[in-house]
Amino acid sequence: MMKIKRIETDVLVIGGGAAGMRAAIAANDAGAKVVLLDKGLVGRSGMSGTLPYWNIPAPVIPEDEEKYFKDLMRNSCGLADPKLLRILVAEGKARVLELEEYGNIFIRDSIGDISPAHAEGHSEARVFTPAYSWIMAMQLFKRGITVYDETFVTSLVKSGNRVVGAIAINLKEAELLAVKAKATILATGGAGHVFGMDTRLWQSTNPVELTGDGYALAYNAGAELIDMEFSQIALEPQYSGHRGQTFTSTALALARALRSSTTFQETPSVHHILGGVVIDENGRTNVLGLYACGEVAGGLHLKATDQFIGCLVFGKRAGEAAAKESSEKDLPIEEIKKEADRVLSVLNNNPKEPLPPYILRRKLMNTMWEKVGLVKNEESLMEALRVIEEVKSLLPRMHVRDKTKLFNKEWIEALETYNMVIVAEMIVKASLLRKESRGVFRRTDYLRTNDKYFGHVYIKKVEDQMALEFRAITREEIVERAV
Amino acid sequence: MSEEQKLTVKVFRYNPEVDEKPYYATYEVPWREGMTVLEVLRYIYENYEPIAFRFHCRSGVCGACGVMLNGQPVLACRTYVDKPGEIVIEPLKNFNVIKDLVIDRRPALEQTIKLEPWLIRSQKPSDFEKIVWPLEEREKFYLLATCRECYLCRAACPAAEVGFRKPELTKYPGPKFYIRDLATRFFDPRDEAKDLRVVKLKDDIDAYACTTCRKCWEVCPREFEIPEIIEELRNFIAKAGLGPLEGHKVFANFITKTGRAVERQTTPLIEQVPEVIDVPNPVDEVLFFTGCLIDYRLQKVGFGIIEALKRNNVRIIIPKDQQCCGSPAIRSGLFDVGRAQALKNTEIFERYGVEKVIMGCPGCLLTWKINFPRFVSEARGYPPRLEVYEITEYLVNVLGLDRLNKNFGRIDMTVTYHDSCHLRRGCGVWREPRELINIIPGLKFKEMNEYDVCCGSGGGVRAGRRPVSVEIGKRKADNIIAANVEGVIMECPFCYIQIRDMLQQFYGGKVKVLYLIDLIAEAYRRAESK
Repeated sequence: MMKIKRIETDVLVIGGGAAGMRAAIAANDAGAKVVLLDKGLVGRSGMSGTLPYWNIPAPVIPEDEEKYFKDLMRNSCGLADPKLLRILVAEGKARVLELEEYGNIFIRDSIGDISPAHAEGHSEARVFTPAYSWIMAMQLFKRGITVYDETFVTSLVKSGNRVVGAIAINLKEAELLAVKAKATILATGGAGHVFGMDTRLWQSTNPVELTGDGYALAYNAGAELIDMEFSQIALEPQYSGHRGQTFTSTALALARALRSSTTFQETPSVHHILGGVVIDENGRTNVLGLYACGEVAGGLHLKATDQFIGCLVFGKRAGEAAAKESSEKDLPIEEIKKEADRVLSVLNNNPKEPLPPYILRRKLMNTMWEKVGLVKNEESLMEALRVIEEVKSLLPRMHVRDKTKLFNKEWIEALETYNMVIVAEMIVKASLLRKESRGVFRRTDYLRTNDKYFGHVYIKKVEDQMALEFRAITREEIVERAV
Repeated sequence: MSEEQKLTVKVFRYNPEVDEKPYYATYEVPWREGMTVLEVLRYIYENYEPIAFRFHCRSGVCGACGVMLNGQPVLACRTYVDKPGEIVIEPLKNFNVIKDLVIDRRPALEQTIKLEPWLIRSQKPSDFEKIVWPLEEREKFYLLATCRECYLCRAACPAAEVGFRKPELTKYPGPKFYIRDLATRFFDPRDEAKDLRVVKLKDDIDAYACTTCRKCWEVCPREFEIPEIIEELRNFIAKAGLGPLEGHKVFANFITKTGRAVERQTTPLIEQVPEVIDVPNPVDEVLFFTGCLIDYRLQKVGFGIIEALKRNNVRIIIPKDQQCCGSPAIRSGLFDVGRAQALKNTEIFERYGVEKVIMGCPGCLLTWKINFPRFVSEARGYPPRLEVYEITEYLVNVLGLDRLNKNFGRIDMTVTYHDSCHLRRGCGVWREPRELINIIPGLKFKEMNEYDVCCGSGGGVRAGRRPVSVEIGKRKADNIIAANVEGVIMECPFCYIQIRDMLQQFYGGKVKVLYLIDLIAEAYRRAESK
């Protein structure tokens, strides 16, 4: 049996990117005790932490709010939830202003006035740049918020119909954490790495930790997800020749002389998942005690750059709402024991025909990239589904070679694979259901947009089965979305 | 290619759960063109054993994958293994190891939090405020804020090594803490806690332990000019009246009083030689900037420079009223003293209408190259109209190795070469001295370990933080002894004095300390006696 450390808090935030950090700050400022769990290094994990700096769009003047709303609605092909978008454009400026208070300085013009930049898909210049992830991370520490980084959440814990905390593995301490919380906020980011490649920034721009854990955690807890078939492809510059060979200092000096020869090519890769867990105006999901914000949350249908302001606005809202939650429910001992046993059985599994987790992951990732990423149609999606089923059947054969618990990344990779299979299945099944092309969703066998599919694919776990349901947008709702 | 090319990889392994102590494991990995260190590690992870290492973004942004590759800190995802053969991969130095290549970053994070790198101000603007700030500060803020927090600088830093091994000697945690956590706020015009930060800078992270050896600059993935920023921060301390240290003030006072950085003990070189040294049929004409240490302490080196130039038919002018370049003051942050010296010397040297200035001291050279143009341009709008060269650089690159007078006598000796930091990384001169060593008959040359690591004398550390300087110097002396040579050659008066003292203190002067230009002059003289 493994040591289980019990922690009690008011608000538990899972994820340490822009949304998670903002939620933690908001919950703390609202007077709640906050614990933040981050799978990577805090301030340097997730998509926001692995960008050199942030470009954040927000309307500067009140007149721009309507225009920004229209831009976002148009970019989402009418799929964005107008209620959420209204909030986004109304609160965007205040969230950006806060970033300056934290220590960022956005670009000013020659006389010192704020000077936002233009960006594609925006009718006005409204992109503020640069902001830095570490500056926001420092706000966590300034407030004394408890942070466990390199800590992987394996499951949410429910008591009855309410999420009351989570179980996590703290890699650096080789211990299990059982966190009891009155409210839990998912801010785990996207799932680009389900399409990715382990050692190169190919196929996906996302860091390796974005394996879609949040979608799987929410799904397993009974939350409803939306728009999972929509993923944005980006042309990401791939640098090469930078700070090259460093065999000896002599070679290093040579590399320095060649420094100007840095080149880059642009390659398409999966950048951002537009769908996610369904939330209301305060980031609440349909499960009691569970909140979501940032890329893991759906409904706003935001593309990558716009997601930044989504992270900040709904991060803050989720944090504040979560701080008000009250629940006296304790962590059910049975649930914890069951989950601890499951997690340890993945570690200690000694199958007859062992398969290292990386083989399954790679099979899944490459299939997702080849069959679902750039080009998809009925045939490729069915093939992907077949591979997913195959990988699912092979999961019990996964063999973690190192049986020690300290910083055992292979163990984590094995556990992630369970999540990745769920996320891949959601993406493929939702893609199969949507027999059209719309916005960033493109199928080679259905090239046109079909009004019949003007709506969302909802995904939910019903009696251990993945249930998908298409709900068309009603006539009344269309009026709100007209731009 | 039919035969697969192999890479033999030696990896540091340590799992405290099962291993009593760390060990090295060796793996064979097929090499291919364009392979990164991360791919090598991942290959081992997949095909041999699940070694532990961090990586996240694979694009050099997250700063998590730093490792030591053959003793040099690198980002695994951005570094190519350029040829098959043997490589060694270890965790970053100056950190405790959690497991295999995974270092414990928590103490560093705690240190960062102590420095309070967030914006501190009393008022909270209700809308975007007007911010007008100088271009120079703005550029520095935006650049320094992109620090990747990869800690390669800390792993490379000789002073941080002392701080890590012997925390009682210095609290110095490594360059990252200056440049990201403190410097960004110093260049932020809104910050109101600069007074507090100056105190933190001086006391909490020991701003005077940095030897300005520029090793951090060499390894930094963002290529930050870290030592220059550290000097600027020391200038903030000086402006606040909290620095520099007593040891530094001595030099600064000498400079303002006498124009020279050190006290007169014997007859200086400059008083022993004429202003102009003529040669028959001169091929070139140069100005000679002597530098305080060569002039007042190592006169022999000065005579060596004159000898070497004379042998190559170069006419030499030695301006009699030249003064200290101001380097000791600038390194400790006293920019005002340095500025005055820059202006004086520029005026004196421009008088002759000769463009080339040669010198034998890398400290002076770096000041002439980097600080003079800035100070002089600020004062009069354009930089000095002078070209500066180190003497070996001049002999090899300007006169040319082909045309050099190679009438040398034999000097039988096994030698190694210590790279002066300011010469190698500051001025880019490291190939030239080695080429000269190779053409002197009789010298058997051997590279030592860590030949380009600081000796501990620079940046005012020898004067102001003696115990730190001695620790760094001992590491150098150990490497020299391990090389098993009769002589160690260098081309810097600071290194010369420091290494001579260190070898004397720890090894009873077992190895001869040689100044390269002096050795060349000696070889010329021996040719004559033969």
